[in-house]
Amino acid sequence: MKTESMNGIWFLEGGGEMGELTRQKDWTNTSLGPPEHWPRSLQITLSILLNSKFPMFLWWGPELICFYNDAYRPSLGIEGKHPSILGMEAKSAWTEIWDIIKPLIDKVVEKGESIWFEDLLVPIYRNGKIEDVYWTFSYSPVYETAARVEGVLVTCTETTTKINIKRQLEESERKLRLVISQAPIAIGIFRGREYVTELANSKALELWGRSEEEVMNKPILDVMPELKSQNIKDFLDEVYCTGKTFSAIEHPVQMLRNNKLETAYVNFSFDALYHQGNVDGIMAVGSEVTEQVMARKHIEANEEKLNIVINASELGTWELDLDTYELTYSGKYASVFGYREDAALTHAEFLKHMHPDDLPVREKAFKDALQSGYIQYQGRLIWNDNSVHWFLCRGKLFFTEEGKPSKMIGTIQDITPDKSYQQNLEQSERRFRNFIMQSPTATVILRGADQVIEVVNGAMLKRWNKSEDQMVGKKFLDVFPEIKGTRIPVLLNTVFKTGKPYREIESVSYIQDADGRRTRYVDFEYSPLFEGNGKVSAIIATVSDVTERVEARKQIEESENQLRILSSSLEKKVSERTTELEHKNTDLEKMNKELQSFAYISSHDLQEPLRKIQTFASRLLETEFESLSTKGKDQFRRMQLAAERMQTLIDDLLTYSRTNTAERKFEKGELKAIVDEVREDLKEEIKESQATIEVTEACEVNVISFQFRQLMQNLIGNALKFAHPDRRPWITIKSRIEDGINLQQADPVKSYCHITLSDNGIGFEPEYNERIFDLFQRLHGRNEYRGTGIGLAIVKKIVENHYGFITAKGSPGQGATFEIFIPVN
Amino acid sequence: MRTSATHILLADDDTDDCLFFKDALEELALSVTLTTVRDGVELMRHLSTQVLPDVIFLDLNMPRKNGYECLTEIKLNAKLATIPVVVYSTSFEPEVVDLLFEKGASHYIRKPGDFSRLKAVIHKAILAIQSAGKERGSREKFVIQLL
Repeated sequence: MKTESMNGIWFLEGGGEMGELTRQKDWTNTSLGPPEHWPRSLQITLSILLNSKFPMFLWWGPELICFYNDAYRPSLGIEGKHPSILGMEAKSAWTEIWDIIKPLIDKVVEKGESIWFEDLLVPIYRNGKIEDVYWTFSYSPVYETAARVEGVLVTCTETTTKINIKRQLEESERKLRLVISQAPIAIGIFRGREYVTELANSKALELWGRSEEEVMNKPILDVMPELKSQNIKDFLDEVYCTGKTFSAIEHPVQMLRNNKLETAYVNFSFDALYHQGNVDGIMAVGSEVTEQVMARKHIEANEEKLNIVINASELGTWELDLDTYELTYSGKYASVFGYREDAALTHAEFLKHMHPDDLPVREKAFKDALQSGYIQYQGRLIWNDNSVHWFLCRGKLFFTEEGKPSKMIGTIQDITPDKSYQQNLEQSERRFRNFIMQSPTATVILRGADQVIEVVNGAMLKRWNKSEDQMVGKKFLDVFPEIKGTRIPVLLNTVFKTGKPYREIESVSYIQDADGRRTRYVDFEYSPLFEGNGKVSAIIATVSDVTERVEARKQIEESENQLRILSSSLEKKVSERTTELEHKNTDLEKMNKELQSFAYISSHDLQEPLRKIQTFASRLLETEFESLSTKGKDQFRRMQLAAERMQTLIDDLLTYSRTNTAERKFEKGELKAIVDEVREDLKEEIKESQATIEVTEACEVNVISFQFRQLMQNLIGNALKFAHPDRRPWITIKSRIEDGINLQQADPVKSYCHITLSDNGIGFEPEYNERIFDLFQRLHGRNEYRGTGIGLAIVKKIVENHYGFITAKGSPGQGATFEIFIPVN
Repeated sequence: MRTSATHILLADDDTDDCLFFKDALEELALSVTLTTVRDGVELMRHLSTQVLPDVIFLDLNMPRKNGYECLTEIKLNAKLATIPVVVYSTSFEPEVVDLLFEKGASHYIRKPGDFSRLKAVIHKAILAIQSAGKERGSREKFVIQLL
């Protein structure tokens, strides 16, 4: 009730500057009239407005009269609408934004709805100009009655500063991204535990060998699975969990680039990105240093190689500071001076080892180096053990920018072995020369393209019939002008140019001596002599006289030729004779076969007429014999005997030929059984002669049965026939198995059945022991012993049919023994 | 005793041998009749047209068709197979003899060089045939031999 006492305008109490201004303003001339009469709702609203610390503005009444409080004042600027718009109609006060706010105000007044705007740009005139001002504000209706809106209350706050900060933030972020994207190093940002790629600049994409589409918004380890097996994920996890930065230098990473797994060396760091105090991502910054690493490795490798070369070449290296004479050197350097490789000596100490005679050489070399920039000299060193060593020193002089010599760098090498090699070479050359001089082979050395005679030995002088003085130091062609135009100079030139030796064997040459011109044969050779640089410097020509050898060989060749002719004619003759013999053999075989078949056929066919002669004779004997005279009877008997003999002959011949032609079927049988069969066949003769046949030993035999029976029958028959007149026949037969190796004529790997048949008959002269097996061979007169001379031939044939052999032994009156050998298998 | 004469058919191209055979039969005075043919062809024709003999004496070596062929033909012909065949030959080869026995001949006679022996073997053969009837003798008795 305090306000009532103050002129009835209690609602304008307080409110700071704006309260003051509102109170002092003369409202009487406005449409609102004096404040005492203002409607209650306006009074209350103004009271709230003026006392609020929150910026507020009010439009009231149909004219939309403007009110505002202190908090609102800064929004109107320094040289702006404040304080003039207090009590002004909205349309006049807000001309510049009337188009924007009029529809909003209408909406509130007509529909009673509140409106809310955030960070809306509403430019206003202040501070002497139109400014872009951002507002967050609400228009809310102020009701006069329940149905009528009389005012619009604006509560607002200017957000220009906030927006500007946000804008600046965005701008700086944009700039950052630009910087990142244009950064000369690879930068990538990964969000979350999955490390989803949020940002990757072109350098990063280049490093990864991936396109932007491939990586963006995808977990980087899914995009680059090759990293999983490497420790990249561990590094990321570490950073993500601890928030500590991880960085690596020249870290090898294998990445799939250009479709192949490449090793890249990368300097990189992973930094944690925070959001509200927690790690929510990682920024990776890196740059590829593969080329640098490779280049460095290459240099390192080269240095290594150089060291190996230097070590292998036995070169000592040194560096001499020309101001201080301070010397740095390698281990090899010390060893050239005869020290251990780790020996520490000064330049002066090393210098003491220099041979005094070589010091001037060194001095001169140093002087020359100042001119040429290079130093090179040879000298001797005297080691602590007083041994002398040759060395070769080479180096380069380095100058300061002012052109003053500052240092020398170089190498030192022990060349003692080279020196002794050179000495050896000279010695060897001397030896070579001596060797040539003493050689029995005529030799000459022609030096240079002019072929100056350098060395000629005694053998050659003798051959050419010249003295050394006439030749040495002279040109070859001057000494022998007669060879100009022959092939010899051409050959020599060719050898000199090509370096290929030329040789001829048994070349014909003519020499002139006291006996005149003679033809000789020579082997000669032109060989090039090479210098160290591979060029031909001389020709060494050797000539050996091989006339005797050639002539001797020609004689041998001649006699060999004659021998060949002789031998070939001999061979021809042998061949002719062989062919002839073969033909004869064939003819003989043919004849033999013909003979056998003739024997068979003829004897077979002869049987028939003979049998008829015999039959007719027997009939005559039976019926007409008595009518013959005594002489006729005798002749008739003789005829019968002749016919009988002929029959025997025919039978034997048939048997003989059958042994050739008949089938050869081998069977196993007991010898004793065969003998028993024969004994049965011959029982009349045995009985008559009172013979004894005993079989003492007998083995199984593998034979052609009927032939073997024939064999035994013939042998036993013979024994009976040729029995001794004074004693009864006694025939012993035995057989046993023997190894062929113990027998003459036998195959040593076979076993034989050895059958022996011996009798006590009249025997025979030993000289006939082979002939008795011949066909028609008889040892006795026909009148003494009957026989055809075929029986033993049959025996032999049968033994041969059994692939065996037979021998006979005998002596007159002492009986005979036949031994038969038949292979068991 | 047999009631009728034994009818013998002799096949031999050799007239001398036929004469000896006929003389031998006459001298033996047996109750036999003899017909002679000159070769194998004639023999086979005879057998197909005439009354069958009681025994055939067959020479081996004959023109046109030899004894061996005839024997084979006879023994393969059911009508003729039972007629005993006595082979009557000059030669004597063991393999041939074996083969003839296999082919079904009843006996083998080697023509001897003595007439009295000829008579004896012929007699012996005829007696063997007569006593055996249609039965064929064993291999041991196949070759007619005189002791």
